Amino acid sequence: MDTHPVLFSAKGIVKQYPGTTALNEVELEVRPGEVVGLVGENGAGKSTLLKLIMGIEQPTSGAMTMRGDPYTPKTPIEANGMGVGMVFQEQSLIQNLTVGQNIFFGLEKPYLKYGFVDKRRMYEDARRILAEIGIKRIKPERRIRDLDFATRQMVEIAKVFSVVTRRSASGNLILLDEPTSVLNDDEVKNLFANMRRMTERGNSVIFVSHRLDEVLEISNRIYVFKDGRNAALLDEADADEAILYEKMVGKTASGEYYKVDRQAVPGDEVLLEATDLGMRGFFGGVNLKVRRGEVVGICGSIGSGKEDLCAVVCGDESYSSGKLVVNGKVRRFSSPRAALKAGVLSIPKERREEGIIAEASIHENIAMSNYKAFKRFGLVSTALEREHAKRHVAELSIKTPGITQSVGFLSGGNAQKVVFARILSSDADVLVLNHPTRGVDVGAKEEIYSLIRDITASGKGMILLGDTLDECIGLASRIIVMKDGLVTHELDAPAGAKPEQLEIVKYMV
Amino acid sequence: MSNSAHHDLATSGRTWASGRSWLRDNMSRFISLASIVLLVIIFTVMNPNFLGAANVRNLLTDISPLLVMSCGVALVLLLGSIDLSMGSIASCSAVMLTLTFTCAGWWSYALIFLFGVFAGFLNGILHAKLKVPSFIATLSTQSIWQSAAFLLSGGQPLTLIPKNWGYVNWVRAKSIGPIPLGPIPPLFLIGLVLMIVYYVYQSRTETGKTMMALGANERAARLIGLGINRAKIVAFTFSGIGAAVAGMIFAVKLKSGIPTVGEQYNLIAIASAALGGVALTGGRGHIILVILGVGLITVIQNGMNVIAVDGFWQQIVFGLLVLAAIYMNSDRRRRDLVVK
Repeated sequence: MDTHPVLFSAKGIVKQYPGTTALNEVELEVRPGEVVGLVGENGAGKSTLLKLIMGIEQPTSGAMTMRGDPYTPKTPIEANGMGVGMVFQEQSLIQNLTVGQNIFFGLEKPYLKYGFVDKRRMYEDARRILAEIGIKRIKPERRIRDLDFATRQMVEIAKVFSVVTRRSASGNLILLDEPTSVLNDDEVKNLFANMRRMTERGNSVIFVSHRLDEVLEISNRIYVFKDGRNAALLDEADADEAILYEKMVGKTASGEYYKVDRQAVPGDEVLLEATDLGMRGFFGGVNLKVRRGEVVGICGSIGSGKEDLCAVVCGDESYSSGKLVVNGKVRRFSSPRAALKAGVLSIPKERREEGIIAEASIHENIAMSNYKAFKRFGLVSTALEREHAKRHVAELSIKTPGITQSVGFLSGGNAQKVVFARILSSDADVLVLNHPTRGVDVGAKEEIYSLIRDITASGKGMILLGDTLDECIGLASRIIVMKDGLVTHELDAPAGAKPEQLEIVKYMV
Repeated sequence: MSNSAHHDLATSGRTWASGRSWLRDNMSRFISLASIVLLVIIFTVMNPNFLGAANVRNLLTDISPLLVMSCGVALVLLLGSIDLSMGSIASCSAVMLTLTFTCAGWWSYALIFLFGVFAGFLNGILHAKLKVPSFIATLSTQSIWQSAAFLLSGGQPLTLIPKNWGYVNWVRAKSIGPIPLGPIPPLFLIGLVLMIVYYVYQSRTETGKTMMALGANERAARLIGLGINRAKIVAFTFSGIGAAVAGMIFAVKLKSGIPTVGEQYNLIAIASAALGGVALTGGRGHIILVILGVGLITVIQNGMNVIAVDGFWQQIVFGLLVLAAIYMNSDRRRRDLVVK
């Protein structure tokens, strides 16, 4: 059985969300016993495809097959039953249960004896499952919270593996979403050994990772996604990091898209200057200047320290070495509030958790970073807030039934515009934009680019972490490349002479 | 969670701190108000004296200490925190006020007020700066102030000596200068004024609005640049002031300083705030509506006395009432907001 030449296939998969198409006519094929790598930038549609395969969501159109039969799982449990399992990016183990209890969580029934779980027998089976994927040093009796992240990851894999192999020992499909982000080199090697052992038995793996070297090492074939479409399919032998990266970022979008003609020429006045700035264990030796009207783009892969640098600049974290000068004064911010008082404010990455108060109305959100502008007789005036909000809602064309609407009910793009309205209403003149177009549809993206040009034209300075490399190059007037916590390259990106993506990529990897 | 549900929600109008439809948001207020009216009718039918001038005066007097306490603790609840020390701060204040009249005269009121500021500020520092969970921090200070109350009073209820009655006789005033008060007792006015001050502070100042925002989403409130610690400390300080004022009200009303007088009021104050629509999870509620919760609880307690319900049964009715109220106010749709 299970000798079909194609284990899993997806054809013409389309997945639409309101206002955006996450997947557009996507194809994927997995043969028995192979590791398929899946790479792409943020928002390329990798996670969406995995969700469809796991039955967490259903495709808008298109067909999937498993061992040649139509495959339309409605829930992850159904997918498990068909031999498909997934190791999630966020770990799903229960901390205060043991390894064995986690592996058999929800499947305790066969181990019942007089109504109680026969732990000895359960742990024996757990030990056997762990041994099957080559893990001998983990005792099934240990609690998850006492294990390090790498070991937890292994348990997670063992758990998924045991669930899918319940049907049959081979011909299963395991999805690994960024499994290596918490592992060190040795642990990654171990994980790869386990993956090979699984594939030797005729199981297949879809491996998603941001680390291209790892994808190259383990995969037989590599799919590259871009903007919800297939961008390339490469055999491991034909691929290297540069080729993959080129396919991932694709053709550079036109300057028009990023309103390059409106890119401000930086002034001379330095608003923010970091000298040899460092945060122990995260980044070090960073020198950068933000001038009036300048957009300093910081490029780097995940773990390059760019996020931590932003956190330090906007007062969310404190630095351990070097010097940070804002508007002529040496600063060490104790909180984002202190940073705001000195003129630095951020647009955080996770909008829902960090950028807005979802329960509060639009006008209240807009006023929050600068209450003193909305005071009358010493008290915050709702009338002033509303008047101001009305103007911003009209100017930024925020789509909402009214300004008293809770921001939590707006779409991503509109909620982000509310965040921009709040930032615009503040006194800050250095803005830290952390993925300002994340989870925003194409139309709203262009409006945000336009806004960024307006803001810099008004003389504010900006530090930008782009959602994609292309976006970072398109918007920035100066680019700083980081790798492993250090600045590896710096270059100007004036309008009309934008650097190529590959020029920057070689300093990132 | 589903996209269509999201769309439905997006089309209905919403206001601050509710995240719920206007109808549903106001339903609990109507229910609270309607229950008060209904209960007043029932009690009056069973005993016409319930709405007599004497009992109305009683009712309004009874409302005042609970009202000031509830408004104070409501601010703390808005943060998503809790204050368990109010009862013993009130007891301590009552005892101290009784003792200080002899040497401090009218200044005693100011002194005890300052004591409330200090006790609340202490809670705020413990919670905001030393990062002690508010439950633990205020449980500890509760125990400290309770002991202080016993030590100061020698474990006995203190009676106000007749020499000092002059300082508390204003309680029975029938007018403020030329303005007649009718059946409204001055103590009720104190409660009302404090409530209005707290309401304006909560809804019209930066720190007050920060309390709401941080109760709803502390991480976002921090990154937005709001003063998190200040808001926490101020909320606890206001709670301490409410407790001290309640303690003074007990003392002047009873002309004595009873070292256990506030004990039972702490949880009742929290329940009243919850009945008034303040979410115990923080970020949702209006100080001005707390009076509905306080009114409902006071009417029930007073009414059950007026129609002579057995004391033990009263506790059962009270417990069921709080359960029902919290059930009506629990936000079962909050999940929708969290899902991206």
